[in-house]
Amino acid sequence: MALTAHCYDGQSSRMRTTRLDCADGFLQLAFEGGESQRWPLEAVRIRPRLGNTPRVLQLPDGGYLELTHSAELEAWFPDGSGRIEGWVDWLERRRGAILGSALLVLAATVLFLRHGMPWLAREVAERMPAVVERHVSEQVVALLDRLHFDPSTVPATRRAALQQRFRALVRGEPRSAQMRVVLVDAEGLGANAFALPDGRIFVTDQLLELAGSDEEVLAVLAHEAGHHVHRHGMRSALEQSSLFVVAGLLFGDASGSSLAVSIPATLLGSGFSRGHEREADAYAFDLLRRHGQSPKAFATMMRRLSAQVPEALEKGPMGYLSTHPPSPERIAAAEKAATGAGAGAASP
Amino acid sequence: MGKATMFEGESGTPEHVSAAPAETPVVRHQPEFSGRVGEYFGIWFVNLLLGIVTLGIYSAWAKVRTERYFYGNTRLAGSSFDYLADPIAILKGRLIAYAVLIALGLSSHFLPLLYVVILLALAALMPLIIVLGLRFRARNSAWRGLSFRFDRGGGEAYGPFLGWPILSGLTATLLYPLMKLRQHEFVVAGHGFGRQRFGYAGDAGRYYVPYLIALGIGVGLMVLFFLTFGAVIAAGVVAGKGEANGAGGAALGVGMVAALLLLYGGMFGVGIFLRVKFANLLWNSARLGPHRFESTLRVRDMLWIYFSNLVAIVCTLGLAVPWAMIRLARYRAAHFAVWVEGSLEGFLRDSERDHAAAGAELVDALDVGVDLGF
Repeated sequence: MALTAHCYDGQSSRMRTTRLDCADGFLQLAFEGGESQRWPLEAVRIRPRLGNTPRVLQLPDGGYLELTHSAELEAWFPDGSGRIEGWVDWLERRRGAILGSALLVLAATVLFLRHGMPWLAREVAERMPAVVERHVSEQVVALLDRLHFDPSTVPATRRAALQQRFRALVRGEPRSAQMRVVLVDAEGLGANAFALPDGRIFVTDQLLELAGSDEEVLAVLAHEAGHHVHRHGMRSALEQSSLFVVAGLLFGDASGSSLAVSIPATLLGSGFSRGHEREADAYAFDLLRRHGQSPKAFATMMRRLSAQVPEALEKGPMGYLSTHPPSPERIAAAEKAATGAGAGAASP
Repeated sequence: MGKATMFEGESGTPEHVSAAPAETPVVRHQPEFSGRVGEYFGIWFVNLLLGIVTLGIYSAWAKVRTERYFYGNTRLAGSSFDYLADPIAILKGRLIAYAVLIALGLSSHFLPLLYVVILLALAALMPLIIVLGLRFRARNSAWRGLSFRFDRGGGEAYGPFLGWPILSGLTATLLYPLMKLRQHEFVVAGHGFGRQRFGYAGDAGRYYVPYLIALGIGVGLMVLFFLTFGAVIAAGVVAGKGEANGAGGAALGVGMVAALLLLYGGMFGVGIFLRVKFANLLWNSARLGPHRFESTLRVRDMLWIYFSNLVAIVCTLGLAVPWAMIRLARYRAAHFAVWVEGSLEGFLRDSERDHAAAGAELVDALDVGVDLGF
């Protein structure tokens, strides 16, 4: 029952060997010279167990005992590692439990990334002050300016008509007060349209040229309005940048590089998820139909965009198609929404 | 390596290998490292999992358990080392560091001026941060129930850790060895164990030897790189004239990649060479009272260890990290020794300084992993 330990008095590095025993709630130390000590067990502090490292007991007088782990020690100090570290130690020693929890953590992470993160991002985006939205948008414009935006060369009458029709289309829609259509001549972007978090919707002359009619342009604008109504810009930026922040946190020592990612850069870099696109499409179809216009125009516009894929991809870092894939599925959804008079057809 | 491994390397059981022919017996104590890969893998993996589950909060506890594992498995003269840091203090430090990083990341895109200000402030505070890190680690490192300490003031670090790096930069690294010498002197002589201080007697001439060798290798590499580069381009031009452009272009690309790999690989090797040589110099110039240290790390061993660790970690998607860490610690312990004159029993607790140390708790929260390149 007695254990052998190295004993230090806490005042010097002199090492003595002692025999340890426990009786009636007292820890008894018996030294070689016949000297002995008695300490109440509850006054002795034991450091949490960790691998095969020596157990360390701290005595009330500053003394210090070092000994290998043993069943006796476990019995004398049943809660010697504390609740949390005791449980951690239990886990560390079991391969099966480790493997099981690894799978559990993996599953939980995937679930969180698919559902938790988008939900969180939406909640945060809805509470985001307008100042931030404006600031972020300014940054995007500043970055895009390198691609040279020129004032639109489309005839003023067509521009005015478009602006007016767009106003009429979104009147009374949520967040429509912020929406503003900006027409630019951007050779570098090609036929393109995108919404910024502050409500600005950029449309290039090149898109207007490609469109067969202003109905088709309006269909695209309705889609962009959907992005704004659902705050997709801020939401995806939050989702993606928080991914980096979380990853940095998880793997400890967050390095600068993991945070050298910002909301504007994210906005530019990766565009929207399929889910966001579908949501914006559904919004656009519904909006168009409520104003007596056919979502068919959207399908037509999508076809035109697909037809010029190769050109658009070469055009620059932000081909419309790279962020807004006009998949056959989306075209089909638009056509279905156009033919189906029922409300149900609006949601693809 | 950082100060972290400074004491890690010191452990071991007494193996009375040899005694110098002196009046007082000198005994060489070889360290002993008893960490096991399988066991540490469990600890490391659980650290990783709990870090994920707690969104990084557990990483402070993870750090303490990791340090304790390596300290506790390192024995010197029959007694193991102990790491005493409070995870909460580390968590506070991490939160502060993290807040600074977030401020940096955000300001770099929203307020470039603030970004520059923060960067300059960090650079200006770096010597102070280094001192706080050294103090925290020393105070939380113990052997036989006695703590180490580091008692240099923050202001004193500005010479070795700000002034000398600037001088070294201005002279195109010609003063680099002197800078290393000052830094080693500052760090080693600032430490104490109990009432005993560490001493340092570095020799500038010996610091210049590895530097000059590294410089020679570095210059040679650059020359070789540009020669290869030139040859590849010349070959590409010749090939491009005669044949189809595609083949010439491909050869050109392969050649350039090979030249770059050679350059980077060479620089990696030179970096490790300097690290190893300076680590040996540090320990061989240090003493603790009458006791001396011996560090005999070999460049080719370390090159192999670093290289194979890297390959193994990449190939296993990180799962080989515990193996790599244990392996490195084992090698370091095997190439370290303390030459003890008299005995190791006579260190006494430095009770006067205990109080001051406790008062420094708040600033000590900044436990930055300072890597001084030892």
